Amino acid sequence: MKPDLHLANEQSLWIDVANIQLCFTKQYENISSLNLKNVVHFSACSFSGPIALAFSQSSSSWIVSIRTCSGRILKQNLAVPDAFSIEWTRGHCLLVLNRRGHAAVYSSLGEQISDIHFSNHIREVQSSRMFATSRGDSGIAIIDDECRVFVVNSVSEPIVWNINSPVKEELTAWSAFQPHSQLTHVLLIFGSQFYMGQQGEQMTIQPQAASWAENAKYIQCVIDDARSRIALLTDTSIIQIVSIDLDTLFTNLRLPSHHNLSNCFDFGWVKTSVLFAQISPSLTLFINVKSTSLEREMASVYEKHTGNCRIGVENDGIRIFENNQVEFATVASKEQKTVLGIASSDDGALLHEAAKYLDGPLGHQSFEYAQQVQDMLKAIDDCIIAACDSWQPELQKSLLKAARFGMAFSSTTYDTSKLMKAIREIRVLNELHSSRTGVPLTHRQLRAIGETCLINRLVDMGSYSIAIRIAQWLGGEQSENVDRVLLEWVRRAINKAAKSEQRFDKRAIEALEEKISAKLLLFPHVSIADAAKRAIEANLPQLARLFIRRETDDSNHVAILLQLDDVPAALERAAAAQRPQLIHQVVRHLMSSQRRADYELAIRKIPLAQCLYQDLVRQEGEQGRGVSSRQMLALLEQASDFERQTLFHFDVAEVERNPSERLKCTASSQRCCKKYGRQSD
Amino acid sequence: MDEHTQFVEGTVEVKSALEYGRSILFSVLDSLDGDKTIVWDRDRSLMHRVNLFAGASLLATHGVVANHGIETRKRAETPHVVFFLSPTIISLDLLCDYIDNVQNDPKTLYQVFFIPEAWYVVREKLKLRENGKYWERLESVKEIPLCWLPRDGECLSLSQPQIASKLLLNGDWTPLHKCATALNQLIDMSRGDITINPNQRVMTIYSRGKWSQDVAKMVQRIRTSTEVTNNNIFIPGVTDSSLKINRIVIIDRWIDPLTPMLTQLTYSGLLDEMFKTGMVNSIKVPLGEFEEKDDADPFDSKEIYLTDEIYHRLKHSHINCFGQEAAKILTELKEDEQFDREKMSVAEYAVLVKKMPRILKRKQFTSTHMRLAEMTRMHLYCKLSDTVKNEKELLEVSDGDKILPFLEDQIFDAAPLYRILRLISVHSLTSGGLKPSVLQQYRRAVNQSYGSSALNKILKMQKMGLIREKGGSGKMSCEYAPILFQQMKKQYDMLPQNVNEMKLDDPSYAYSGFTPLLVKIIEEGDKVRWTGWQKTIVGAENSTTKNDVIADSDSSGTCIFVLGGITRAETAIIKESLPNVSLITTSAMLTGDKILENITNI
Repeated sequence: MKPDLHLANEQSLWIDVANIQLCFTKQYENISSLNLKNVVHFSACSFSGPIALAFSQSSSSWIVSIRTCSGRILKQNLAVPDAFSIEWTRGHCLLVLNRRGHAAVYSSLGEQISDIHFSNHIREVQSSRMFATSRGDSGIAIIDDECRVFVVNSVSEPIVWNINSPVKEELTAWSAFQPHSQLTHVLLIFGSQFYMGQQGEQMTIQPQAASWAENAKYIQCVIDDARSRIALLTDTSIIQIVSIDLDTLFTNLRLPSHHNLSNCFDFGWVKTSVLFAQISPSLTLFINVKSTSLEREMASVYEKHTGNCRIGVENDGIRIFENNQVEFATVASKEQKTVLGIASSDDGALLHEAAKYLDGPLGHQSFEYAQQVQDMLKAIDDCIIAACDSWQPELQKSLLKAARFGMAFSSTTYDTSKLMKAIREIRVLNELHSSRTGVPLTHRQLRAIGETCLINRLVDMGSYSIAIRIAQWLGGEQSENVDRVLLEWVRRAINKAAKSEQRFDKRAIEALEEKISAKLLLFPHVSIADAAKRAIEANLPQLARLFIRRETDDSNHVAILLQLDDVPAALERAAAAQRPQLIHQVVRHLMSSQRRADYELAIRKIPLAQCLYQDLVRQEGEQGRGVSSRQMLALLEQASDFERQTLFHFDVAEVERNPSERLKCTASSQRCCKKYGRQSD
Repeated sequence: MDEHTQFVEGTVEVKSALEYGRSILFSVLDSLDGDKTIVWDRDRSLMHRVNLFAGASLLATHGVVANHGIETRKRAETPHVVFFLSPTIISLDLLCDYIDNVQNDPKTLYQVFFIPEAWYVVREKLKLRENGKYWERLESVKEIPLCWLPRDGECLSLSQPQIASKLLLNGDWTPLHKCATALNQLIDMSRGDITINPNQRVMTIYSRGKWSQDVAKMVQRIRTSTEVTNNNIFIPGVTDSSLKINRIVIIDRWIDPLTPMLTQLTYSGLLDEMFKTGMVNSIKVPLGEFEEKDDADPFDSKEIYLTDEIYHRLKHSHINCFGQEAAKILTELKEDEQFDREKMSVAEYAVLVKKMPRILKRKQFTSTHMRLAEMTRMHLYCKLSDTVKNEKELLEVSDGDKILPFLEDQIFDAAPLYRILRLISVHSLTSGGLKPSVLQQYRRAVNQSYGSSALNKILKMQKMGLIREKGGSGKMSCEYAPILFQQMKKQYDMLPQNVNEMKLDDPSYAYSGFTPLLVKIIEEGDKVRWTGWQKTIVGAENSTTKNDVIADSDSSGTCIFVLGGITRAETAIIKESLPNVSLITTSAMLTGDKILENITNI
C-alpha cells in the first residue's frame, strides 16, 4: 500500500498546565491549502465530520466549499447568496443562514435537503447559536436586531418558536441550550444583567446571579458538553464557571493582565477542566479552570502559537485547523497519564515498559518489570484504554502487545472480549483516520455517536466502500448496516443515472445494471428486488426490468412486475410458481386498477388464474347468489363452457324457491345442453 | 374431555403430530401475556378442529378464561381478545360486525388467527375495508396451521372432502397447493424447519397419479423457495418426540374411485357409513334405537365418542367377526373381575379398588360397542344385503350394455338416493362405461323418482368420472383417466378365491373378497421399494447428500398420503397388512356418501 502522505505520525506533545496535561497531536500535515486567510466563515462538524469554508465572492454572495478534515474536497463552489453564517449540525448537515432569517440545510455533499424559515419580520439577523439537544440532534437559535429570539429545537424537524427580550439595551453575550430533560432555555446577558427564559415562558431577570456577578461586561458565555455548567468571560478578563441555573458559582479566575481577552473571538471548553480562548488568529490560550477554592485565583495559562488558524470544538477536545495542517488538542485522560506519563511508576506504565523490553536484547528485564506490577488487571485495562486513545499505530501496537503480555501474568483468566473489541475498534479508527477517508474520529467520539450513526455519516459523505468495510468489521458479514449501505449506494447510483443523459442510453443502463448486480451478488442476503424497487422509484423501468431478470424469489419478482404494471408477465410468473397467493395478488392488482372487462380478458388467458378468479367470484357470492351468480354465468358463457353452464343452471334451480324461476332455470339448463349438442331429457 | 378417562391418542406418529399442533397452538396463546378471551367463529367445525388438539380445560391452563361465540356479542373482560376464525368472507363480516358492535374497553387488544390458513383475499379485504379502519384496530392477523387432524388414532386427515370435486368440477387447483403446504408441515414435523436448519436430512417423495405428481413438485418448490409467509409464529424444532418417517408416498384417490363406492364391511367403516363419523371422531345415534325403547323421542340422539381403548381394538374387525373379537375382550374382563374376596389381603384390596373404575369403564365401553355392532349388523342384513350382493356380482361380472334390474326396482321404490347413485357408479366403473342408452335409462328413472337435483348429481358424477359412458362422444366426460377395471382386476388379482374375514392381514377381508386397487398398488410399490414411481427429493438444495441414505436402507417408516380421501376399511387393510407403512395421511376420511354429499356447486 502507498504510504499516506498527509497522515501525521509524530509523537504527541504533552504540556503541563498546573496538574493538567494538555496533549497536542498533529493529525494531518501537508494538506492542500485551506486558504484560511481569505475565509470569511468557518465551521467544523462535530465528531470529526467535514469542515465548511466560506469565501466571499461579492458583498452579497459567498462560495462555500466542503472538505474532510484531511482536506479532501467533498463539494466545491457551492454558491450561497446573502449569507450570514454557516454552521454544522450534529446530524451532519450544513446549515446556511442568511441575513433575513432564512436557513438552507445542505448535506455534506452539498445537496440541499430542506430549509427553515424563521419569520417574515426579521430585518437583520444579529447572531445565531447552535445547541445540542437531549435527542442527540441540534437546535438553532437566532437573534435579530430588535432582540427577538427565534428558536427551532431540531433542525431536522423545524418548528419555530420565539421569545422576546424585555429590555432593549445592547446585548453583550447570549446563548441557547437545553438542560437535561428540560425545555430549551435562552440566556441573554446585557452587561452584567442576566435574563433567562424557557420555551413557552417570559424572559425574566435572574436575581440569584447578583451574588456573584462582576460589575463588568460579560462578553462570552459557553455551555459545556454535559450541559451542566456555563463558562462566562468578562471584558476585564475574569472567567467564571457557574451552574446552568446560575445559582452556584464553581470557579472564579483572573487571567494574567498581559492577555487582553476583550476581543477574543472564539471561546469554549476543552473537555471539562480546560477552557480555550482564541484571542488572535495565531494565538490561542488554554486556561486551566480546575480549581478548588471559590476565592479568586490567578489562572494557569498556556499560550499556543500557531499560524493563521480556526478551531473546531469536539466533545473531547478541540481541533486546530491551520492552512495545511490539522492538530488536535485535548486533556490527557487518567489512563493515558498512568501509562504514558513521563516517569510514571503506575502499574500500567510498568507493564508497558516490561513489554517493550520483551523483544530487545534485554529480555530479562521484562520479567523484572512485570513482577513489579501490583494490580495486573487494572494495568491491562489501562493499556487497552491508552491504546484506544492514541493516534499513532506504533504506539497502539505496543500498548496492545503490553496488554496481551500482561494477560500471561494475571492469576485469573482474563476476559479477552474487551481486548478483541478494542482491536476491532482501533482497526476501524485507523481506517477512518487515513487521509483518503479523512475522519479523524477519536475513540471517545466513536463511543459517543455509535456504529450506526458513523455508518450513516460515511454514507452521507459518499464513502460507500469504507462504510461497508466498517460495517462488516464491527457487525460481521450479516450486519444490517451492510445491507443499508449497499441499498443506499444503489439508490444513489440509480438516481444519478436517472438525472443524467444516460437514462436514454441503453448500453449505459445495461452497464449500470451489470455493475450493481455484480456487487449485489457478492452479498447474497441482499435481494435484487430491492434494487429494482429503487429503479422504479427513480423512474427507470427499463433498469428495473433488467434487474428483475436476476431475481429468483417468485414473490419479489411478481411484486416488482406489478409495480411496473406489467400484468401479463406478473400473471405468467405467478402461474408458473403455482402459488395461489401470488395469483391472488395479481388478480387483486388487476381488479383495483382496471375495468372489469379488461382484467377478465387478461385473466382468461391463464387457466390457473381463471379458476382462482372463479373461486373468488363464488366466495363473494356465498351469502346470496345475486350479482356474483350472474358474473359466474358470464364467465362460463365467455369460456363457452356449456357443460358447466348446464350444471350451473341446475344448481341455481336447486336453491331457487320461486317455482317459475325454477322452471326457467331448468329450461335454460336444457338450452345449454342443446347448444352443446345433446338431448338431456 | 373428562368423561373419556380412557381416551387413547393413537400411534406414536399420530401422537407426535398432535403434540406438534398443540405446541403451535400454545405458543400462540402463550405469546400473549395475561388472560385471554377466545371469540369463536360461527362455524362450529372450527371449534371442533381446535378441540381435537386442546379441550377447554387445556386451553384454560394457557390463560384462556372465557370462550364466546362471535355472534353472541358478549363483552370481553380480558386484556386480550383472540379471534379464531375460518378464512371465509362470512367470518370476515362477522369480525367487522363484532368490532363495530361490542362495547369492549378500547384498550383491549384484538388478535385475529385464521385456522387452518389465512386466505390472501380475506387478509387483503380486511386491510382495505373502510379504509383500513378494522385493520388498524387489530394487533395482529396471523394463521395457526392446524391442518392435520387425528382420525381413529392411526390416520391424519386434512378434513377436506371436497378436493376431488373442486379439482374435477370447478377446475380449481388451489386444493393441491393446500395439500402441498400441509405436506410441507409434515416434513417440518419430521425434519425440522428448513429456514432454521438448512442442512437437514432430505425427504424422498414418491408419487403416483397426475395430482400427486403436481403436489410433489409443489412441495419441492415450497421447500426450496422457503415461501415467505406472514405467519411468523413459533415452529417447534426437531426433538425426540418428532415424527419419524423415512419417505412420503403420495397417491391419487382417482386411480381407484371405485372402492369408496362399495359398502365397507369393517366395524369402523360401517359406523362411518351409517352414522357419519364427525369432526371430533364421534357419531350421533338415535337414542331410541340405541336403548331399544319404542317410546323414546325419535329425534333424540346420543353422541358417542369413538376414542376409547375398546374401540381401537375392535375398529378393524369385519362385522361378521366382531363377535369373536368382542368375546376375547369379555374374557379378559371376566378374568379381571375374578377375585376371591375371602383370601384377599388389604394391599390386594387397595390395588383392586384402584383398578375398579377402569374395569367398570371398560365394561361400559364394551357394552356400548356391542350394542353399536348389533345395530350395524341389523342394518346391514335388513337394508344393505341386496346392495352388497349386487356389488359383489358386478365386481365379478359386469355388463354395461343392460340396465341392472335390481337398481331399477330400487329406483322405483325410492330407496336412498346415494345408495342408488353409488351402485350406478359401481356398475359403470366395473363395466368400463355404460352404454349411452343404459345411461340414459338410468338418468330418466332417477329424474322421475328423485327430481332434477338428482339428475344434476348424476351429471356432476359424470363430469367427475364416477359414472362413465362407453364410447361417449366426449360429452360430460371426465378429464381424469378411467380406471380400466377389467384389466386391473386380472393384473392385481383383486378378487382372490379364498377369503378369510377373520384374518386381518388378508387384504381382501374388509370388502369380503375384494381387494381395493389402491391398496394393491401401494402394496406393490412397497414390495418393489417404489421403483417406477415418480421420485422427488425435497430439501436437497442445501444438503450435502443428494439421497437419504437412512431411508434407502430402511424400508419401514413410510408415510402414505392419499390425495382425495381414503375409506376406513382401506386404512384397516393397509394398517393390518403393510407393516412398513407407519402413518396414513389423507385429505379426508371418506365414504361413498361423503363424496356425493361434497360435490360442490359450480
